[in-house]
Parts: sequence; structure tokens; C-alpha cells
Amino acid sequence: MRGWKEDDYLPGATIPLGGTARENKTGSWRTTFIPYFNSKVCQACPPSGQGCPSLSEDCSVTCQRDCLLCWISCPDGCIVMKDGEIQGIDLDYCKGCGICASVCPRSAITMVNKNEN
Amino acid sequence: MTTETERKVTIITGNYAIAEAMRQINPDVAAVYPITPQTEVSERLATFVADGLLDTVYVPVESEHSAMSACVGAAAAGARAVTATSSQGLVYMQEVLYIASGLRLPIVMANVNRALSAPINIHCDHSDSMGARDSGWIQLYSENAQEAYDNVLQAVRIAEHQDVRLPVMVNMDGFIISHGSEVVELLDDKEVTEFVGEYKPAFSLLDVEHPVTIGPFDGLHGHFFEHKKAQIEAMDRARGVILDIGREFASLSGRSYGFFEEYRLADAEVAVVVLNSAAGTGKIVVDELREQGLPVGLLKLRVFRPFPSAELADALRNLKAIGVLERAVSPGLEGGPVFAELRSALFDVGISPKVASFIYGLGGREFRPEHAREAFSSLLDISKTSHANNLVNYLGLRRR
Repeated sequence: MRGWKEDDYLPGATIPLGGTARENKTGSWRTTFIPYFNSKVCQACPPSGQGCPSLSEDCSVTCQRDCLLCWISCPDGCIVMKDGEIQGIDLDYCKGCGICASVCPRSAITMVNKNEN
Repeated sequence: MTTETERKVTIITGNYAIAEAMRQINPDVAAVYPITPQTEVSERLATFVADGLLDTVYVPVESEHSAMSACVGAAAAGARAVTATSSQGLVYMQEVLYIASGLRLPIVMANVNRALSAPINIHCDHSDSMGARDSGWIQLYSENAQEAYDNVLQAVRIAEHQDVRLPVMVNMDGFIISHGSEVVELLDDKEVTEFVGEYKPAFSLLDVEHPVTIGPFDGLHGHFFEHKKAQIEAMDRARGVILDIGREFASLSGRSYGFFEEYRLADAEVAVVVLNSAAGTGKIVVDELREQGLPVGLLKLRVFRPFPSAELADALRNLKAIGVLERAVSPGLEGGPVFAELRSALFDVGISPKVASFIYGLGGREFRPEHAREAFSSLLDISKTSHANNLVNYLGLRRR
């Protein structure tokens, strides 16, 4: 063993720091697909009701604007949300699983094949 | 000026003795799931907590896997955690045993030895703890209720020692000792509090001033191999620590503990090596045969992990024949685990005694004096010949 000393490693592989997961950018594991977030589709229905794909009388009940399903469903917490609005996707950690795209009721997120782009 | 101590000599079962030890330790967390023949340990501990005698947070989990997982979480948070189990329960928590030792958490567990199914059997044998021998836990074995009580107290100090920091399993025979009433001297509560001291964890998840990450992934380019080497080194250091704590406990209690007990071994020509309660029966037969002038002795192994190879070789080197009384088997391996490890330990000793395996007591099959006599008789024959005819023998097996 080349110069290994027990003191080099903390027992049990304990890391004496918090929040170290952030240093491991798992976005590097992403292979083919990248999520593309279209905020216009997600947030359609500005106050005047323009551009909403499912405008109806029950809007107050059925509104899918900023439903946050992608934010809840992302296994890596990569959907960036601020003040109840989706801002985008954190590609540093996104592994391209596509769950966000499949749960979005408006298909505001699409998985784009990076090789085709 | 110390206050007067109130030790109590009482009649108590093995289970209750262990529960008393745990009561006096007053652990931060006890996460337990019941299983025969351990159940009374968890019941008794729960009663103490319910009666307001302890500061312990008692977590009645839904399984043994959860019991050990909760202990791991508690210990990682800096709490002194204990639990108890047997047999299927020990195997149910098997994956977490490796996690506890890998994370170097000083959890103390009482294991009441019981056979592993199938067939279902609730009675004593050592298959459960032997099955956990690679898990990185220190393993102590107890002949009787007094030893079980004493071992649990020492276990806390051994586990938490800064040079060790490994979990410790204290074993005791199911039903035979767990449910049998014996005379036990209990130390005074204050003596135990002083002996076990305060737990000083190396890290704590609850210490928000110094955040830590416990149990990170250590992958292909990491240092897993080095961490396992560190664990091995800790287990090696435990040898010295076990002896030191044993000496300290001896000056406190008057009862000595080392790696093993030698019974009339010094001038013996043949001896048996045995763990747990069968040692009691063995010693009576040793006395009986000595009355007849036969040069027999007994070695009762207390510490199985770390395995005291050098010390055993030293203690046994002058014998002509050794019988390993074994209460567990490993089908496909001749004899059992203790036999295999002992022979390995004797391999490099200059003059090799003949070693034979005597499997007994599986599934609680009673180990009686006549079985011990049978073993000694075989060993005396073996000592006169150049080899053992049967490497593996079975005591108390019903013939068809």
C-alpha cells in the first residue's frame, strides 16, 4: 500500500462538511436528452386570458398555470421555482430522465435529443 | 469521598439482567422489536421508560431492520443507542449491521442466541450470531446471566472507545440463560453511570455548528478499500481495549474478564473449547473426570470477534487433543465456524494438537453431562492415536 495512513480518512468515510452533494454535478451523467422548458406554454393566461390552451368557465378550479407538478416530480430537485413560478431547469444536476416532461399537463417541457439539434 | 454503593445480589433471568444493565446505562435511544426469546428485554426496557425511570427515547419500530436502522440514525445523531434481538431478527437487520460497523457507530446490541429457521425453531443455538461474524461487529459471549449483565456494561465502553468505535453484540443463550433464573450481583446505579460515562460522539448530525455528511457514496475512484482497512485496524485495536476495559471492570466488580476463561487447562492433556452456557455443563464434567484422575480441561471463549488467534494458540499449544464444542454449522464446511477459525489459529503453532469438532445443541437440543463425557472420551482416545478418526462428531443427535 503506497503510503496509506489511517489518519488520511475520517472513520466511516464521514465528510466533515455539510451540503457537499452540490459539488457533484450529476448533470454530467446526462446522455441523450435535455429538457426544454417553454415558459409561455406553462404560464399562458396572463391576466387577460390570452394564449391559454384550456380556457374555460372553471378556470379558477382547473387552471394548470404553474401547477408545479414538474417541480414536485423531479427526482433531483432540478426544476427552479421562485415565488410559485417555474423559472427553468438546473442543467448542472439534471440527469435527463424526462419525468418532468411526462407529468406536465400542458407539455410545456419537451425532451430534446441533443444529437439531433 | 464516594457515596456508599448499594449493590444488589438478586435472583433474576438473563433477559432481566440485560434489561437491568440497559436501565443503568440509561441510553438515549432504544429502538427495539420483540422476538422470542429476547422479548422480555424489550418489554422490561419499555416498562422502565413508561414508569419514568429513564431518559431513554423508546422507539417501538415495526421490524428488526427498522430497529437497527433507527439505532444507526440515532447514533449518527450523537445518541447512545441500544437494541436487542435474536435469530430471524438478527438476520432481518443483517444489511444494517454492516452499515453500523462501516459508519463506525458504537451501538450496543444484546443478541439472545436462537436457531435460524427452517424448520422454525425458537430454541438456542449459535447460528444467528455466527452468521453475522463478517459484519464487523465485536462479538462477546456470555456463559450465564452475570456475564451477560457484565458484558453489556463493558460493551458500552468498548464500543465507544476512541480507538475502536465499532458496534458490539453481546450474546447469551436463548431460554437456557435468557429465561433461567440465576443469582446475579447488580452493581449500584451510580457505579454504572460512572463506569459507562458520557458518550462523546466523534460526529453528530444534530451539531448544526459543525455540519457533517455521514454515509456518503464512495465509488470506483474513492477509498472504499481504505475504509475497510481502517475498520480492520479498529477491530485489531479492540483486542487491547477489550482487555483494558476487562481489567478496569475487574477492579470495580471483582469479576475478571479477558478473551477467554481457562478452566483447569494448565496441566490438561485434552480440552474442549466452548462458548456460552454449555461451558457450565462442561466445567462440572471436567471436575468429575479430574476426580477420576483424567487430565482434562476447558477453555470458554468470550470474545469471538476479534478472534484472539495468538492468545488461543498460546493457551492451547501444549494440549494433545482439543475438541471444539460447536453450536452452529456451516453446511459444506467441515465442523463449524469456531472449529475452522481455531484450526486456522493453530496452524502456525509449532506442535499441533489434534483438533476435532463436536457439533451439539442445534435447535436447543439439550447439552447434558453425558455429551460432555462423550466428547472427553473421544478426545482422550484421539490423544493416544496419531490422528482423529472423525474430524466432525455429533453429540446428542438422535440415531434413526
